[in-house]
Amino acid sequence: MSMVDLIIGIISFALTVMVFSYIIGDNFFFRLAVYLLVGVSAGYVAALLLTSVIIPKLIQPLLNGAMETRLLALIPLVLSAMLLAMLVPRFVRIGSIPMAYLVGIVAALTISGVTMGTIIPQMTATVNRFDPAVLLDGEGQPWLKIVDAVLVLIGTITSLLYFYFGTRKKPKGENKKPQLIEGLGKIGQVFIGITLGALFAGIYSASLMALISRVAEIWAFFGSFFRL
Amino acid sequence: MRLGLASALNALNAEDDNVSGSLFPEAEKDLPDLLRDLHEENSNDARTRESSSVSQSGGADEGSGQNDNAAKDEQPAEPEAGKDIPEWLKKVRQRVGDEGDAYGDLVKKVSARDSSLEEDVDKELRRQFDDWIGRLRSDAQQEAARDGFEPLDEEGLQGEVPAWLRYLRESKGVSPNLAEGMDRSAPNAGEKLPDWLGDTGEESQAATGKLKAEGTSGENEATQQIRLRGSEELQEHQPLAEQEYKTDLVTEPEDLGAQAADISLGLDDVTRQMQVSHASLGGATSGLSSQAVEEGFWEERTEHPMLRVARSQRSRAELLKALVAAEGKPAEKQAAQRRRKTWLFRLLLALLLLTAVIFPFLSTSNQTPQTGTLPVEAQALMDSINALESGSPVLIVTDYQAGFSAEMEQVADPLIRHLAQKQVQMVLLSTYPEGVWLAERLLDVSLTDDSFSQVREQAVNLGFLPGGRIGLLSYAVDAQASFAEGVWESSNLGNINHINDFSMVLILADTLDSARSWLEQAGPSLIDTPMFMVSSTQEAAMMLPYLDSGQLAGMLSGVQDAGLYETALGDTVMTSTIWSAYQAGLLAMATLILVGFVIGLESNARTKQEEEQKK
Repeated sequence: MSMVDLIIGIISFALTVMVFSYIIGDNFFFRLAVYLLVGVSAGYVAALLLTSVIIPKLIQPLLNGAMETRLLALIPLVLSAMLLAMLVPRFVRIGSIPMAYLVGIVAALTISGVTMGTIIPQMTATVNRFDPAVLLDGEGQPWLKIVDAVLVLIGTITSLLYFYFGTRKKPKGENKKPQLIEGLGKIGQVFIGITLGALFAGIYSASLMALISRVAEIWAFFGSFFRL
Repeated sequence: MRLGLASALNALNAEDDNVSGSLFPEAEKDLPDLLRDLHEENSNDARTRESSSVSQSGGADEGSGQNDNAAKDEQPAEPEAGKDIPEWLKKVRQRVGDEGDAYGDLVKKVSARDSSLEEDVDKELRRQFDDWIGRLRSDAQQEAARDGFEPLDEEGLQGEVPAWLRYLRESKGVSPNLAEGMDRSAPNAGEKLPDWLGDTGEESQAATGKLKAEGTSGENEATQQIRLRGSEELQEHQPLAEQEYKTDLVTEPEDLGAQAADISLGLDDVTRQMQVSHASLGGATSGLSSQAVEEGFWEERTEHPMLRVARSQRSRAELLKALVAAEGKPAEKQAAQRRRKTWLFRLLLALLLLTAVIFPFLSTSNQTPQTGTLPVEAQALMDSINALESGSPVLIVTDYQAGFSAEMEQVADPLIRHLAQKQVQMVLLSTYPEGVWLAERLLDVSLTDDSFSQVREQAVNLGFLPGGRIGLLSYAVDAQASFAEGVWESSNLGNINHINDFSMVLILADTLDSARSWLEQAGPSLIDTPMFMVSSTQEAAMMLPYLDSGQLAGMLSGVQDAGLYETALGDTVMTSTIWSAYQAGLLAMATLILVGFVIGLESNARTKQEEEQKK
């Protein structure tokens, strides 16, 4: 084991123990480890953005690029300067221009992406499950495919109805969801509960693997000394 | 003397004759014989004088002069007459007193003299009495001021006397003044008692014995009734003062003065207790009079021995004091207790989990690798990799955070080795800043075998793709334009200009958001290039719809699938120890969840039972 590996191993073990100390409550060592993580991450991101984005895509084109490239590089420079102007309260309005540009583009991309990449494909997939060609062809029993398709359809519809909050105003002043939607929404609640349970299991699995990874590394580190 | 009295009677009868006949005709019958004789004799003399005055008009001045002389001679005899007043004269005087217009000047003078003498005596006695009372009151007020008591004014005291007590006083004949006197008996008043009250004669000894025998019977009967009534209504408010007072009665009192002082002290306290208790019964402050709520009241009185309160009042006062003193602190206490419990609970859980995870590392038994059938989506991925030709460009996106690197590296490890076996050109990219070095680490961890050194050298790390969704779309449209000048050329990727130029796109994502970004922005641009997903177990369920819709050609998620993939490849790089630790950890957590579920059910049932019992 080299000296570098030894130092890294000791620091790694110390940081692991410091994070684990949160078991007995919030304390200085845990906070120190968290501050280290945040500080190192922020520094790393700043350095990365500087070396991977700002210098090669803004500074270098302005300094070494052709005229056309320089003019094009002026656009992000001006927009960046306008964004920085938001730091001064008097010039907040100036920064709203690039912010509006960014928000508008991201919103448009998100809406189009969700529509084209999620809603339509998944609705199509749900409908295609009832395609006779799909049901009869391929492996598996057709009736199992039908049950699977029906379950998917019921789960999709009832889960969407669970989030239906529209009510019709009644003369007595009671605003209640229609009973049909209320009942179907409760079925959707079951599907949502199963999904959330699966997510929780996944979170635990990921956390468990993180723990095992740390234990394995620490075990290997000390094993190198004691030949475990 | 006989002449003086006769002349006085003459004067009296002269006037009396004017009214006796008409106003008191029967009164003459009540006169004694002697007075009647005198009355008749005087009447005869008067008639004789009237007749002689009528017949001898010239001798009138002489006669009147004789009468005046006689009257002057009789004056010294008047004081002597006042010393030994006969019964009949008393009646006469009484009658004259009743009939203001029926007595003469002489009687008026005598009455005025007597009344002036009586007033002098009364004034002297009253002055002495007032001085004594004044001394007592001033001493009591000074004592109370020194002890921290606020003297009660008469209006306040009268206003605080409950209705039932006033009723008792009236029904038992206790005058308000007496009751007030009892109520306001000053402490230590026995020290200033006058002689007549502090006398220790036979009567006082007898009274002491009676007090011993009858307990509180030595007190005024009305006071006893008050005490009884108060004790009936305020059973929980049994005054300590009364108990102490009774104790004093049983012990040997030295003299009646001291006993009387105790009685007055006890009565004073009892009255105070009843006032406070009465307020406590109806007051919202639960045993505290309005004065008691005032700031500093309890501090002054609880520390002073003169304050005597009931046990229940004391306990309530203590409770209130504790509540006021601990205002804001109980929450901290509870929070501290909760924190302690949580800390212990967390420590217990951590120890259990660590034990379960570490145990496979300590165990020397043979641990077999995972066996089972590879899922369809993982099999599709394996088939796609198997179909790749040597040198085919494969885009590997490392969009996961450092916190999930342990799991993601375990899942991606067999895939990376499989790709290395196929001698493909790996192109790494990340939309996460930390993904840049995580990609390098992934290659370093997975391609440890020397046979993969060439593949490792040919692998290209394009680095960080800025811009999030915008950057993804830009990359999908024009891959080269998304990076700085020279990056693409130096990476020996001259033949790749578009994302479709890759033979495979492999997304390593730990969250649904990052996976969806690629699926929604870059997915529609993919025509012939399949997209595969490598995800954590956490997000696997959310990826399945995209798999069903065909947007994903295959998927590998979680350590379990990775172990099966590895087994299918025929490798045993993923140590069976890690897999065993993973299974042990899952088993431990499942057990804890079940135990917690049972404990929660039992706790809820107990809580419901307690609530029902309370109801």
